Amino acid sequence: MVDLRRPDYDRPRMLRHVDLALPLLTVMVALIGVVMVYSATRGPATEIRPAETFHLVRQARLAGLGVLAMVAAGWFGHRRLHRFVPLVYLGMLGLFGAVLLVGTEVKGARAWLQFGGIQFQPSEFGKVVLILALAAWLARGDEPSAPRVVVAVLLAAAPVGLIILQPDLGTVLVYGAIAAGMALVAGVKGRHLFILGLLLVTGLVGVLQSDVLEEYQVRRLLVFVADESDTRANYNLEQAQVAIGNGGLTGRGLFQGTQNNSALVPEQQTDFIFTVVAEETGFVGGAALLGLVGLLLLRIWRIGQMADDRFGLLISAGVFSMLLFQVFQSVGMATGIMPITGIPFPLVSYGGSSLLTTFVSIGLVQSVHMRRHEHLARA
Amino acid sequence: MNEASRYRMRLLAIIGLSMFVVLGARLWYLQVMTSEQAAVTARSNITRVISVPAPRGRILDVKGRTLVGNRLTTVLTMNRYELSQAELGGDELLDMLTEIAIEINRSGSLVKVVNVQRALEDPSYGLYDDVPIAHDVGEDLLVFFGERPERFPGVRVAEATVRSYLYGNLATHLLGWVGSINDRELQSRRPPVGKEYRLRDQIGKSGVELMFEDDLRGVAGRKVVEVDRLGEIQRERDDLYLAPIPGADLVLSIDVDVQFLVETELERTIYRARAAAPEADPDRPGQVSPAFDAPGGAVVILDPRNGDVVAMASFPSYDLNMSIGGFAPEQWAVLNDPANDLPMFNRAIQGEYAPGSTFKLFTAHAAWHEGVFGVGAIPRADELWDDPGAYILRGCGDVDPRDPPPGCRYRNAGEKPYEDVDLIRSLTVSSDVYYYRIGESIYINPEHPDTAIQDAARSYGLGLETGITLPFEQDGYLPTPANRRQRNEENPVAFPEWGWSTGDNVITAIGQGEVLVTPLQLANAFATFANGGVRHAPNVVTRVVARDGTVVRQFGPRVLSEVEMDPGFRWRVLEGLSGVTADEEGTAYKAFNSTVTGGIKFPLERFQVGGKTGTAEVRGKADTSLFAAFGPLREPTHAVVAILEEAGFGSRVAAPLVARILEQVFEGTVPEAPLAAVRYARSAALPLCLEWYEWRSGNTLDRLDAADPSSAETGGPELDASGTVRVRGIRVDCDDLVDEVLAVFEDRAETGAGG
Repeated sequence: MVDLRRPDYDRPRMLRHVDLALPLLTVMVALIGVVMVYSATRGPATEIRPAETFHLVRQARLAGLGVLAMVAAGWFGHRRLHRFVPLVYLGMLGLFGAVLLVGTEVKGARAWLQFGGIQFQPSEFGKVVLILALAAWLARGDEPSAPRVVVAVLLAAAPVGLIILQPDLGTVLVYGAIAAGMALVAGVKGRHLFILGLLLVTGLVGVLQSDVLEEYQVRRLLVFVADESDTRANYNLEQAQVAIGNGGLTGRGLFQGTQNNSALVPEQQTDFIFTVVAEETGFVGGAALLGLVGLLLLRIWRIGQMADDRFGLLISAGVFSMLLFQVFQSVGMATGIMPITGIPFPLVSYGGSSLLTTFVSIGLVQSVHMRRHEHLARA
Repeated sequence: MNEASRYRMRLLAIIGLSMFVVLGARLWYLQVMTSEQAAVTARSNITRVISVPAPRGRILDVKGRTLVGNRLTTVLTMNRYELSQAELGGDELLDMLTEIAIEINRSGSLVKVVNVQRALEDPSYGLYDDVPIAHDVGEDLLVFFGERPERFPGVRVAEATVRSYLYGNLATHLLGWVGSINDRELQSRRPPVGKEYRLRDQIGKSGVELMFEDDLRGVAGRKVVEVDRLGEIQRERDDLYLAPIPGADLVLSIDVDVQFLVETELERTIYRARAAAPEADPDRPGQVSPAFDAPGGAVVILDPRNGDVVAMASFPSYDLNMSIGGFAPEQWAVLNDPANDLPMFNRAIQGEYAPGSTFKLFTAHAAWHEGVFGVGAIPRADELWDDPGAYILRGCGDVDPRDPPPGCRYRNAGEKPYEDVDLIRSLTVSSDVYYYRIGESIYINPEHPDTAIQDAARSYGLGLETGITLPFEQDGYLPTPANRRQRNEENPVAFPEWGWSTGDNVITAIGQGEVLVTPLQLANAFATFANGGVRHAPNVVTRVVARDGTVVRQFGPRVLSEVEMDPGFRWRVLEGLSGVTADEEGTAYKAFNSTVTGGIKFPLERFQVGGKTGTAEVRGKADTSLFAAFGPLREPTHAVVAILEEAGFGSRVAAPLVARILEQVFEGTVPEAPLAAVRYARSAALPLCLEWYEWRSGNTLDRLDAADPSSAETGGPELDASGTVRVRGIRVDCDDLVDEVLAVFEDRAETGAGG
């Protein structure tokens, strides 16, 4: 009889614990993303001018690369990564500093680094690093004490401070969501959370009052707060909602969205990609995409529940919080219930950094699932 | 894992679930509940209605030749919004504008940086408008700025329709210019049904362009396009297109050939007059009379049969092409500066001049019809009477004729005496004394109405607007005791005199004093006499014709009034006026029978011409030279008036001018007016033709290398070996051109040899 409680988990057998639903859902959503990016960027195809395929090809390649990155992350494993977390964290801070010094400015935010022909956004990869760092720090004991919470806050505050200087409001909010979700799961006490909440509000008001934020960002936030205050900033919001409404129940049909084809919604291949989905595939398509993402989140949440160590649990909680917030913010912004801040829809929006980050983080979650019995084996 | 962690994970799941519920609900609301509304917005959202300007009607001459058409031009515009988005600093902006100005200048049109700045500040343009900076820029700029949108934000080169003046600056005052409608006009002008005005629409500002604005203006069409968020056109909706309706064409009564002849002759005469040395004043020996500045003049030709204006010229003139895209401020200042003799002022209808002796016709009319002849001291009309050259008013009594009290003695020009003067000869030789006596007699003899002269003049239309269909016409002035008093009461500072004396009536009788007429009035008055007394309102436009050929409006002869004319009076005056040109003692005899004063040997035996010279004195200035004429005498087809300011005697300046014009008109030898493009082509071809001529003559060893193949592409002058030059698609035959030039030199040589 084989002892069922203590099976022999050698490395090759680890593959037996691979969660197939996780990569399946991930690749499905990413493929939808590739199609939608193509729809958003192909332009009006005419006999003289065929449809533009540059973005399609690039996004497809990046998705392929993302799958590889996801596999690599899962294979390398979150535990082996544990040792390198301080190093990775410091490296991230270094990159953030480099962005501020030699970064490329796009639409008012200095958020990109250029290496040869490759341009990437360190703050995107920083999300995974923050998840790892907080998970490593908060995993040290249940119900973290006040000093531990303070250090955790500082761990999150350092990258956030550097991103505010870029400035990139959307990414800051994602970092905040990651930190909040992980703090909640890590068992930070209610009163500590309350104090953190107060600090957050104070900080937000401070940021709005200071010159850190660009005028257009403040304006976009204020559009949400006081409706119809600024026609230019309101324009994005209006066009996005018209596009979504125009989709109706079943949509205009793929590549048939008039708002999309007229390029009336700005940033429609990145932050506003959901408007293209909603216009062309309607409520049915939009809900289906949200359903797939919901299943993916459910899977991640489930893996967190099944994790055999605090580190793995917190990684799952961090990735869950990150993706949940990004989806909520991205769709919420397009549908007009959230302020307009540039946050990509995970796996769907055009953009390599975001895509790879998402794949890597899901790879880490896979690792948590794959290795959920190692702890027992070692014990 | 402990239970606490699992519990807290569940909290996270609840948060996530509620977020998805919110998103789903919102999506349902937008896509299912309010979808209809969004779909409507989406449809209208992506289309923009663009107004398609209707072409303005053309202006044609009496023979259907196009004087004013429309053409496409390239316009450089700057978009204010895009410029403001670029957030350039003051220096950066100035640098960019300077660079733009340099490029515009390099492409061939001239613009200053200050003009660009001023154009950008034009308050009539909105924030999102493309403000025109320069018109008629080179097409190479289209490429230049099109390739550099980052360096020149908001700069575009586009095509626009503007007025095309096919004969250059011909009939400038009559045609008038078009310009952007301003706020005041936008509010005050009531457009005809269906033809609305929008800010910056081009409307007529003067001449027939202004008077016939409603006809010339078309109905704008519309184009519906689908645009993206950058406003860039993606697709045009042909199904929603509404074609513009072009404005109606005007057919003028003007004959382009005659107009060209008249303008050329007027200009030439004025430059000759300026060159003439001031003569010693015969009235004031020892004093040099003021110089002949000849700042300006006007010629009007009417058809006495129906009141049509055949030609109307005013000098100095200006180039209507300056108005394209709006006059530059400095141009505008130059054109309206009195020091430049006001080129925009249409002297033919706005200039008011003392008519001088041309007025005697109307004094004679008054005298004849009021029964002045043979009453009191006035001899009968046919009685011969010696004019001593000077006249002392009878009211002054018995005074020393050589030293009379002031205001008692009136003289002929140069105090010239005439023997055997009757009514006929008084006109032929232009005896002032003859009319002084009539003027005095009418005023002092209670049998005659005091204002008989003015009333007669008024019946011919003097002192009244003629009713021509041109804007800003002046009415002139006929002084009477009543209106002098009235003017004094209304404005004692400007008009200190209020009384009326015999002397006033005496000088009024010869068209001096305060009498003022416009050239058109005088021409119309002579036309009225010429046709037997029918006073027409002059027409410049005979028909308004829609683009499809249907006549919208037609202007026949418009009879204003009829002058009662006694046949006895009429034949005597005709006799007297024809003597002016035909009788050896006639004041215009030399102008019509010799080339001494620049006149010609006029074929009077075939075409009798009745005329009257006038030399009006203007205080402190040289005399105004006038000549009014009509012919052929028995069945007049043309009535002409020439008035030249500060140019000297009517007999020496205005009369020869009229003689030269009428000779060609009656002989039918008026040359065809050259199109501006042809004039340009000929001047551009001349140097090449001379080269070709030399080459063909074989006197040089040069090769015919003037044929530059590169200039063929630019439309520049291009010569081939057969002696044909092509300039912008116009062929110039060098043989003809060189012959013409040589003929000019031969003429010169002959006249030089002949003395």
